[in-house]
Amino acid sequence: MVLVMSLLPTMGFAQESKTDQEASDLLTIIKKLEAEKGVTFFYLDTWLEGIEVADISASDDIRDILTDLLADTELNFFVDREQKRVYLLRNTLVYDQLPEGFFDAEADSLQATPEARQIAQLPPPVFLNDGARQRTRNLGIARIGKASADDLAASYTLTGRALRSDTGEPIPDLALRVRNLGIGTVTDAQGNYQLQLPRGYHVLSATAMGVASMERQVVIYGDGTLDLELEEGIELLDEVVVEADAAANVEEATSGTETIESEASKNIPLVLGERDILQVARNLPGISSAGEGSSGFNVRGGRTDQNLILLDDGVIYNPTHFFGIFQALNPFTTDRLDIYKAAPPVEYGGRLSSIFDIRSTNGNTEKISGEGSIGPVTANLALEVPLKQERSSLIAGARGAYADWILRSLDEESLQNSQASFFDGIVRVHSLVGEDGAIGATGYFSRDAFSITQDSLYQYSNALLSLRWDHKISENTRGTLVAGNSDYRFGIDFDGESNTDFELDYGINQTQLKYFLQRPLGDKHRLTYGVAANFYSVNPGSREAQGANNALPDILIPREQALEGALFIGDTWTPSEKWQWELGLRFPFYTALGEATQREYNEGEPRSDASVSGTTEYGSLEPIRWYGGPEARLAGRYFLDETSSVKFSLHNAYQFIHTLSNNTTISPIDTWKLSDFNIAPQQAYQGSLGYFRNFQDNTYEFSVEGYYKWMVDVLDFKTGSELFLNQNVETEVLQGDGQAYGVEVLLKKNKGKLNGWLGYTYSRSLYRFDGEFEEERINDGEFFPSNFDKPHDFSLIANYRFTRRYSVSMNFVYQTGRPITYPVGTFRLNNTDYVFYSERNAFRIPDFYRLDLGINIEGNHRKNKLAHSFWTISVYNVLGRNNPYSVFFVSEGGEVKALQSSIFAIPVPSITYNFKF
Amino acid sequence: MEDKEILYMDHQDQTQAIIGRIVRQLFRLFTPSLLLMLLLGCVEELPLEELPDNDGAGLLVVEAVLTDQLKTQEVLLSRSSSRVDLETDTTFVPLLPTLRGERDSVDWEQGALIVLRGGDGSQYDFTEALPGQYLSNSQFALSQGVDYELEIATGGQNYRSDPLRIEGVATVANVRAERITNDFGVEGIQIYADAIPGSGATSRLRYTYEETYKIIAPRWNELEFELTNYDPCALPVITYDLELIRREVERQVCYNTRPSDRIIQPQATSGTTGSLTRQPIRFIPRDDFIITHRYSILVRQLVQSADAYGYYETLNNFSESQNLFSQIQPGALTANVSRTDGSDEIVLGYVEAANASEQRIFFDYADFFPGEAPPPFPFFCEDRSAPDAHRSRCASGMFGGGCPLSLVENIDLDLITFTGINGEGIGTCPGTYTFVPKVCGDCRTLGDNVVPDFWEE
Repeated sequence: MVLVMSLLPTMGFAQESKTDQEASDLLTIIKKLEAEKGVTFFYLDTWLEGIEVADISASDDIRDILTDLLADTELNFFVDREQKRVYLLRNTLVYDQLPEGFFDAEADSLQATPEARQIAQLPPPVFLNDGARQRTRNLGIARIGKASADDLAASYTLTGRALRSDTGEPIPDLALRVRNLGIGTVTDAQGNYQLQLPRGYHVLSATAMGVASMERQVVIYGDGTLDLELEEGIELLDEVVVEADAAANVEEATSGTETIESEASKNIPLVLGERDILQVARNLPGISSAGEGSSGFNVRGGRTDQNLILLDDGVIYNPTHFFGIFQALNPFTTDRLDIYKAAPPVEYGGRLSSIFDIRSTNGNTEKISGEGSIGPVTANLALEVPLKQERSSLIAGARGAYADWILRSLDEESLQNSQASFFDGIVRVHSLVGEDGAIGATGYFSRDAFSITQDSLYQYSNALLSLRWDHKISENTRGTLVAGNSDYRFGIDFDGESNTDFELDYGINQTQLKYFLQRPLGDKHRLTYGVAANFYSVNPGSREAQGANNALPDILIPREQALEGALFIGDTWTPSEKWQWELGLRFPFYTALGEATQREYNEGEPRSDASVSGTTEYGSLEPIRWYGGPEARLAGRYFLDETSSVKFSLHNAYQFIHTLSNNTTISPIDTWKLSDFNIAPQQAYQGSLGYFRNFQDNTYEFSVEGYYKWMVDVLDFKTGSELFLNQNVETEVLQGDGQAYGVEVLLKKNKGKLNGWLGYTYSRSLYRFDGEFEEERINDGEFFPSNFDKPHDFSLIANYRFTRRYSVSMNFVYQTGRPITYPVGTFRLNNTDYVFYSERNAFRIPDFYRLDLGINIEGNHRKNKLAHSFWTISVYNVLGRNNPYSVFFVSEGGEVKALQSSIFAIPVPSITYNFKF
Repeated sequence: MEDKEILYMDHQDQTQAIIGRIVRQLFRLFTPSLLLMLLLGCVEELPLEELPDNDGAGLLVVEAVLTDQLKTQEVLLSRSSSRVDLETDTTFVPLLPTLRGERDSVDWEQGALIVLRGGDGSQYDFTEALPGQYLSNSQFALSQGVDYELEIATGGQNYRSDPLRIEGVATVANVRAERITNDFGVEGIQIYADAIPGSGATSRLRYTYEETYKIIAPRWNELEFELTNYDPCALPVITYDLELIRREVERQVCYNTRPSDRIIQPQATSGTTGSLTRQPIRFIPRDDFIITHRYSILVRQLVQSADAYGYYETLNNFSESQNLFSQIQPGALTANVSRTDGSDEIVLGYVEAANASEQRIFFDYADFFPGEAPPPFPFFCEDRSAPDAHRSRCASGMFGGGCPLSLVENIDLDLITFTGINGEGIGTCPGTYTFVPKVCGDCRTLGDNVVPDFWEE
């Protein structure tokens, strides 16, 4: 059966690829193909003369090659495989079979195209290989109406509907054009359309926002209908990541893990329009903070110093700006955040409660691209530059707040010296090495500077340099080398009226080196083993007097150093389909190193200057006291059926460095203290048990998990202790026990127009400091709730996409009010009334709840547009709830006042502009 | 607190006013910023009168600053309370009767026996002078290098302080006043002091002060009302005799003295090596009426022990306005006094032995603001008038309304002072005389009419 039709040249619908490749002479290519493929071409030379085409594609199939090759020409082809002959045809087309339903008067074209139906059955969102996107060829030709010798009409009516292939919903505003006829129409709200077409062959093209453009060949014999099924736009490939991990909720043996993708978090309304994955993390079960706007995380009832925060394997000591209101990470260069709340993989260690593993994106290796945003507080830009095509790239991001400028431009003399600014920048190079290796290097810096009072300027900064080299050692063995250096420091410049001006500094520097190997052992084991080392160097505090005739003495606390190492081996063991085990053993060891002087205290007396029994001097790099012990990491998964599993874990951990803070919440001037002769490492033991289930083809994830954690030697401090610039801080330190337990419930919907999650946690976090002496006890040595003990914690994050361009999102949080220490009596001293406190955390502030709403508007998706834009309009705390952050008592003007503070007491609207190119 | 003290216009709201101005400016610029965000965070006072948990009520509170100055030394004893505020909040409303009776509800501890024993064998007994106020029977000064212990017997229990010792000697010097504009953009007078180290450990200092200011009643008149034979219930009309008499006591010029109520501690200095200079002691905004005429401040410098310094520093930390984002963890802060039998009874307050030195200065408003308008008097002192009499309280039937409290009632309640004859028909219901709130015509509302011993003109 041979049909002859006209194939008109493509106009204005340039294909996406090939444009930047070298064009060559068609005749030459045909000759080349004849030689390579052993086929004979039939054509007239005049047809091919002067036609320049894109280079041939890499396909083996001659049909594919020719399809690409001739796409933009007037030529068509017919392949006779048996004869190994190829017929080139000008303006005509050869069909080797008659499609089904050809003689059906009301032929529904979809009946004739099984491929299309198959695609339509894929669950949303749809993932297609490149070939599948080129719809013109796969869908074949639709024949409309029945030819009749009596019918002499000049044109015929084609009607139909445009529908989404994944959901079956109508597509309104779809532009339909008929090539070279200048005829076009637009579908109505129900997706219906109507076109008048002359008899014969036409190419119908359909374009609309948020759907992949499509072309359809039709042959009009008479009036008829044609329904069009279109896919979502290819930008949705973002969600591929979700799909790839869709079953991870149920499958992975490690429990207590959470993943947040930076891109996916962009719709969640947050304060002042700043994207913040760390803030999003706090909405997940088991992760909380003492309050809105307080930095630090409390994971499963652990203290804020028990989290290891890694950016591309390097440690960040303070990942937030401005007291924790904003994350100090560039959202455009951040790819994802994995949080391990229970037994982490063996290559990680050093903190009791969690590992926050933040990964940067690897830059675009194809072309220069970038992303940026302008919000009320910050401006942000990230650039991706390919260094070597498809091999290596560079990504650079910078972000800054511009409040300083505003402060200075105010006509207010007292504000001229005010400051509130922050900055962070990141540079990352990633390159493929050899066949199966990669090297990534990250450099990061962040800095905050602000003055709370007129006479003092606070500043802190993080710097990080990390390197990761993944390489293949043998067919089965892969090695990973991680090296890094992290630095955190803060300073206070005080410039008051009297001759007591000073500059105060603190700094911690950590150098780490880690090497581990991964290889399978038989079919059922996969081993990970390696070694890690960390070297810490801390400037515990120095105060330098400023200005002439200063009355203050200089203070310099001697530098502290320590070495922390670990050997580890882990096995992912899959004994059967149903069982999977993560078995790990880690052996950390630690010692503080000289040069140092350590005090010894009399047994049976509280540690104080008076109870010192002796001091020991340690020479340079001389070990002071060794700590360490085995850490077990045990996690298991058992499949109940295909979509549900039970997981359990047991692990213990050591932590050798601690924060010193006598604040109720984390503060930027908290210092990190290394374990030494008198301060022992903290330890924790945790067990968890959970049930995990996915519903409806991984659309819904459900999990419920319970845990119990016991902590030993966690730190607290004596009342009113001086922690900073104190060389013998052990006299102020209390070490006690902690216990935390809870149940976390999470229901997640990952796909579809409505996605988001609903989480609920019931948890308790209790501590006990029961020293030998009265001054070493808190609350008489009984367990008391921690500052972040919030038994009920409910959060709902939802995002609904109306169209490709418009979506709305919401974030609702409810938490039990946090415990605070309340006074129990008032007394008169120094002509003023003061309050007296006794029981720690015996009261709670009122419950916390907050609703945030956001609207996201994507710019239009015209292909040739220079930049793709994205607006976020959000209102934080829509209900205007005056959530108390704290209740405290001050003595002012002789009397006591009970004050309640709140951070965002009114709705805070903001608008942010994002762009991408 | 002193009986004479009255809360007048609150100048501590300056800060609020400044913040308010900034907010308005920000909104005008329509450029939200970090600062704006800071201001969205708000602090409000809770109307809390009673603490929900009264475990801390009824505890013994001891306060004593024993010094090496030869004087009558003082120890204060009281009991803690579950009331949030031990002082009755008094907002002075000129035409309402002032609250009579105790404004101060401190539960003073009476009938205690107090003795101070020195390691050198010395012994000083104290006798209760006012409720809760115990004064030494004789003047004495603490000696250096001697440990003292304060012993208290009260409520059937015996208490003893930790050993007290004067750790160092320093001298306060160069107490001076300067006209400045402070960090909040407020113009006023700043009082500074320097410290000159003497011997011993003098790195930890605390300052207290006592300020005295002259008050001149702006509407003082040499005549005053005298109301006699007043019967508000007489029928058919009330009976009274009203006369104008010449004032017998000084009511035009008074003096008020107030102690400091803040904890003023400079950073611990290096002690002997460097002397502290320009330590701010007190800032007085220029529109505060206490500096309208003549002002005097006595600055007292205490050289504290490390323990005493730590106590006051912690107490101050716990009771200061906190940084919005991170708050200090408060906890039990107890006195250096405990039961002699070793049982765990919590005692509050602090007893310290300190080297003390003092310096007094005087200044006039005109010394710093020559030719400039003095601060406004904080009360409204325009002439008012009211009907002379009122209807009998014992009359039946309907009362007519609309007129202010009658003159005789005002006089009876001691609310007003005479200013003149109402010749111009002042007031909604004009009476025979004009008058002003008492605070405008009688300075004893705000101070004492006796010139202090130390006062120099």
